[in-house]
Amino acid sequence: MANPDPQEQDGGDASIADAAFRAEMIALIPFLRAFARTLAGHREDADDLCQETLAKAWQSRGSYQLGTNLKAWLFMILRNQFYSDRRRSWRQQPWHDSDAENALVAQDNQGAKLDLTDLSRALRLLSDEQREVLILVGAGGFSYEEAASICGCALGTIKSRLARARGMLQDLLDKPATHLGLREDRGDAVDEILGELDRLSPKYFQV
Amino acid sequence: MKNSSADLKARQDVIGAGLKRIFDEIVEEPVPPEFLELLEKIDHKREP
Repeated sequence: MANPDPQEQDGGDASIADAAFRAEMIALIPFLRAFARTLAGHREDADDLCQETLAKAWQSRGSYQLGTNLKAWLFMILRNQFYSDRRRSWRQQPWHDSDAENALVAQDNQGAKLDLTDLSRALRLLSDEQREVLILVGAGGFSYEEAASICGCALGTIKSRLARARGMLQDLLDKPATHLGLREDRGDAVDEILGELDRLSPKYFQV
Repeated sequence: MKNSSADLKARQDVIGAGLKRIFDEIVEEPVPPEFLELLEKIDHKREP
């Protein structure tokens, strides 16, 4: 048979295809968790979202074309699930900073530094659409074309959202104290952190 | 303060590296056992 469809076969072939699908899905779980958490912000909800995604993907595995991009397909399911859950019941959940706090500082080749807690907070202030495109392209390694198909929108939309998201993020990080609410949350520690940032990379962080 | 385009580019690079770092740290976390349990369950509950 030229183009075997696992859903329509009994016995051996279907089981083999299912097992392969399942193994590939398992290998992608860490990426789905990262996408879910950066998109939804809340650890437990993000893991629930991932599990729903896996169950849904398994149910619909017959419509997945073997050999195409399973990662993009799973991300698309997760993304759609996120928006439908959010419409149904979710309101903004408090953002958990724990992940960012584990790794406080990112550094580039030139030695410029950025507090990842500030970056995480700034990310929460973007719209969902801006955040998702930034994550997909900026962190997830998807091409513009793949991001467009995951988000179900045109290539031009992806590019303009990405540009806006990057500009917003930069503006937010330029004024962390006022935009990110750091002073309310952290009191005096903020001045220390900002002072430290200024000391480390005055060129990038002074307004 | 006025930024040159080289400055802007450098800052975007830092932000990009930070985003990747946040994402990758989650990718590197061990997968909680519930995930594999879920997949065990759905694997045995095969639709006709």
